[in-house]
Parts: sequence; C-alpha cells; structure tokens
Amino acid sequence: MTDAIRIRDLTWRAGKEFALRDLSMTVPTGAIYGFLGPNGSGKTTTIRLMLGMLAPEHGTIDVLGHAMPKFAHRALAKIGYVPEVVHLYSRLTVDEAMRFHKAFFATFDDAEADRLRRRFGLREDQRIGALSKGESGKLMMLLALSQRAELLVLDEPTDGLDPVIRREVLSALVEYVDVHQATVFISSHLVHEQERICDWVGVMDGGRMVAELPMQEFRSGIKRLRVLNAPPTRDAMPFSVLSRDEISLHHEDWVVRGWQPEMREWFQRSGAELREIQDLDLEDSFVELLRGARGVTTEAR
Amino acid sequence: MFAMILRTQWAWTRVLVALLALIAFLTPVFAWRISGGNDRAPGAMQLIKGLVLLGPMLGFLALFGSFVLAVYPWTIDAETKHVYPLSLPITWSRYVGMRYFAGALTLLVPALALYVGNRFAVSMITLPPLLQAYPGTLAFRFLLAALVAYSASFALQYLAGRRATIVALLLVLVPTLIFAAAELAGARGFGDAVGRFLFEWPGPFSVFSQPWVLIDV
Amino acid sequence: MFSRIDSRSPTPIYAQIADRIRVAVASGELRAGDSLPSVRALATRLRVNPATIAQAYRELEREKLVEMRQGAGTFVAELGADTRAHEREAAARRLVREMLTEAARLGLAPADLRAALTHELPETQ
Repeated sequence: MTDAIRIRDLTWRAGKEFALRDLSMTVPTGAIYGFLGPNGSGKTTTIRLMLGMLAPEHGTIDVLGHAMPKFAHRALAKIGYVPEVVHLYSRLTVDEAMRFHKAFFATFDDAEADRLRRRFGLREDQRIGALSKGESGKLMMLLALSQRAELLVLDEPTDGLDPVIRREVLSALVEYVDVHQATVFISSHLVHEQERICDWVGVMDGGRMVAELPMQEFRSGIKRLRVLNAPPTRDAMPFSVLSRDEISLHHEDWVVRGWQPEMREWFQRSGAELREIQDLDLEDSFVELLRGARGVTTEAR
Repeated sequence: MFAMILRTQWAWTRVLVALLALIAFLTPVFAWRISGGNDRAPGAMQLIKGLVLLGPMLGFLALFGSFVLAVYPWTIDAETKHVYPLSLPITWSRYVGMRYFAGALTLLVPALALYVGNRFAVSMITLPPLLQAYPGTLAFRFLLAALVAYSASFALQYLAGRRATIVALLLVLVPTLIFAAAELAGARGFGDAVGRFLFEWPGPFSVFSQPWVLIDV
Repeated sequence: MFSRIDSRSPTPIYAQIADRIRVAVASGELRAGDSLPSVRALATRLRVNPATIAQAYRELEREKLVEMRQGAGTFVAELGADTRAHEREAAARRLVREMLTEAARLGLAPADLRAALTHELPETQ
C-alpha cells in the first residue's frame, strides 16, 4: 500500500532565507497525521507545496501516487482541502458554493452535503461573505467531506472557532474518517486536539522535520526523569536527552526521548539514582522536543 | 465545469453587461434623433450623420466595456489569491482559459443588442435606392473590436497581476525608448508609421479606427 | 459517562476509557449484557481516533470483561460475582497507587498517610 503523501529532500525558499530545507515526510495511507510546529516553521508552505500550488526547488513530492506539482490536477480530484483562511468566492451563497464544488468533483455526494449542511446549521441562501468564521469553517469542511475525498488536508481547521463549533467539526471529521477510511493530514497548533485524534505525529521546526512517528510512541517515549547525582552526558546513552535542568544541588530534571523501562539500568551502572519517571502530555513533549532540536541544552543521539 | 464558470462570470458581470447592451442598443436608435430627425421626418441622412457623431461611442464602448469585463471578474478571483481555483482538479492554464472564454461569451450580449438596435433604427427610415444597410456587419465589427480589447485587457491584467511593476515599467519605458531612439536617429514620422501599422488595416487595432458605418453604398 | 476523558492527563486515552468502563462494571453501573456504544459512535462523540476506542475495547475483551460481536456491537460479558469484586479491588488499588505516587512527590511518609486516612475516613464500620 503506497503512502498517501511522500516527500523527500524538499527544498524551497522565498528570498534569501531558506524556508524549507531537505524536508522529508511520509504520511501512511489511512493515518490521521498531526502536523505540529511553531508559527513560521514552514507548515503552510509545506501544505501549499503538497497541493501543487508552489513548485519545489529541489526534492520530490508524491501525493496519492501522483507527482506534484506536475499532476496536481489529478491528485486534487481526490483531495479535500480546508485552508486556514476562507478561500471560497465571497459572493456565492452556501447553495451556489455547493453546486460549484459539485461541478468540479465527480464524487460529490449531494445527499451527504445536504445532511451536513443541516447538521451544521447553515442556510442555503446565506452569502459566504456574510458568514462568521465558524460558519465558513463549517462550510469548507462540509465541501471537503461531501467530496468523498480520499485525503483530507486541513490547515488549522478549528483555530478561532468557539468550543461548540469545534466539537461539531471534529465529530464530523472523526465520523467521516471511520466510515471512509480516509487519510487525514491536520496542521494545527491546538496540540491537545491533535493528541485525541491523530495516530501519527510529525513535528517541524525551522524548515525541517524534527520528529515523525506514531503518536503513542511519541508520547510514551518522552519522559521527564528526576535524577540524583547525574552523570555527565556521553554519546553512549541509549536514549537522547532533550534537555537538562538543575533543580537543586544534586537533583536534575532530564527530558529524554526514546525511553524504554529497561534503560533504568544505565543509571544504576553510572552511579546515579533515578528518582522518578514522569509522563509528559503532548504539549510539554512538543515543547521539550523543540528545545532539544534547537540545541538549547546538550543533546546526544 | 465550464458551465459553472460561466454561471459565476455571468452572476458577477450581468449588471455591467446589461448596461453595455442597453447603450449599444440605444446608440443607433438615438443616432437619427440627435441629428435633427424626429418621428415625423426620420431620414437616412439623419441616421448617417448621427452615426458619424455617435459611432466613436461604439468604439469606446467596445474598448472600455471590454476592459472592465476582463478585469473585474479576475479581480474577484484574485481576492482570495486564487487559492480556491488552485485547489480544483484542473490545470491552471485550463482554468484561466475557461475564465477567458466565459468573459468573451458575455460580449455576445451587447453585440446582439447592437444588432437589434441597428435593425430597429433602419426600420424607422426609408432607404434611398443606392444605399444599403449593414446592421449585422456593424454588430459583428463591434463584437470583433470588443474581443480584441477584451483579449488585450485580459492578457495585460493577468500578467500585471503577477509582476505588476515590471509590466507597468515595460509599457512606459519600452515605447518611450523606442520613440526616443527613432527621433534621435532622425526617423521622422516614426510615430506616424507605428500608428498606421497598428491602426490601419490589417493592423490589430484597425477595427477601432475605421468609421462605424450602418448605411453605405 | 465518558465526559472526563482528558488528553492532558499522562494516562493514554485508551487506558482512561478502559478504566472508566472497568469502574462502571465494578460499581454495577454497567451490567452483564449491557451494550457499549459502537466504536464509531463513541469516537465521534468524544472526538477521539476510532482506533483508540477499538484499542480500549480490545483490551477489555482480553480481560474477558466485554465481548465484541461481529455486526452486533460490543457488550458487557457475563460476569461472575468474583469479577466485579476483582474489578473493585483493582480500582481501589489504582486509586491508592495514584495517591502514593503523589505522596512521594510531596515527600510524605507512610505514617503521614495513615494518619490522614484515619482522619478523613468516616467513622462507619
């Protein structure tokens, strides 16, 4: 089964600074892939490249088996895109927008579109320009789902939406994914939401991928260790240290990645004492990962 | 797909198109009125004279009307930086082509209105033996002029949208440089030659400069 | 029933869901033969990856607490009296483990905990 999205050694820049360099990403078919990264890390640019709206300087992009941007028009027939900012024609009404979309996507399901429209509380005669942020978010999601897309690419789909609408949109998304076994790519800074829904996570920082692995592995593999009489970090450690903080004279907090329970022995052998092992939630894991990637503290691989 | 593009094109420009059609229709109808004709004594001469006066109006209509019809819908499309059409499963060139043709098709409406106006005006007068009316030819000429202006405007603003400054500079600098060079080299009448090249048959803009004639021998 | 699923908690979500069902079984809230929401329905309601729900159900099925019947859904299994008692015991131990972890963090000794327990427990039984 080919991957839904395969990006290799992608390089792209605007101006003198490189926006993306040697970026490689794999989104397995059927995954719900959470794309995390701070603002300015190049997430939206990556999405634009993925959809064939920009051409890379170097590297390959394959989406649903089609090379982008050359065959973008083929891949896009099966991709439902929900951008961060409303991209629909503001002069159209909800109904006209649905008809327009249907004219371009052969797989558009009228009955489903109508069902979602009613569920989201959108009226046919509302002008898109007059919709609130939440309503236009719902409409864009409606179009992507009614299209029966194989791949959904969502850029901050719930940002700025009130909690009620956020839940409505996410419920519709989860239901769709289960019914259609679609692949979903969600770029969002709402880390806790990503954690509930995504089974894969890709972390980006400064134009590069910093980590890409199954969500559970990511969470279970990052731990905060309370260490007494900590040894100096050496290359021979079985895990990678993202950060070290001195708590008191002899106590240090280490945040490590790739932790396995057997690694306790390493501490025993180095004469240190492992006082406590703490789980981190995704947000803290994400922050610590970035600290490590940016080399704020010593890191060993 | 094209039908949808045409629908949005029509929805966005129908007021303008209706306005152009109205003016196109009224131009021949009023032509004989403004040169002294009235309901009791309309005549072929009044119509001819009137059109000599109002004819250029058709030229302006074709020129500026088409310009707005080319630019306005594309501006709407560019409001959202074309993100939506870029996400549709068609190549970009096909999309641009469809927008272009949709706009070009709407030009048929004022041309048709002109044709009707011509027929109407001609029906109000009696033609003397040696003269003939060309209502269709005039309308067709208008359509051609409109298409030329539309295509030029569309191409210009499509390019300018991407590199506005460069295109603007080219439009100003290049002709200026050419004319300056020609003057310096002592090629008098260079401007006239260029003008003739562009505006006389078979130059591209000749359709604008020749007289707009409804009745002729 | 599942309103307190918290992604901020260090416990993985599938474990939280499974625990919640275990507690419901232990307390009698869920009885043998009761149906659990379908994977899709629960995933949609909680806005959680369907695979996570499936994982929770599968774990409970391994423990013989629930039965996943193809095409019909997931149901609470026939429970012996000792199953419920076993679950209650497990739930109590989980609670105490959490308390002990927290106490260690606060630097409390077992004697401190016993004193507090005696003080806080009502004087019945």
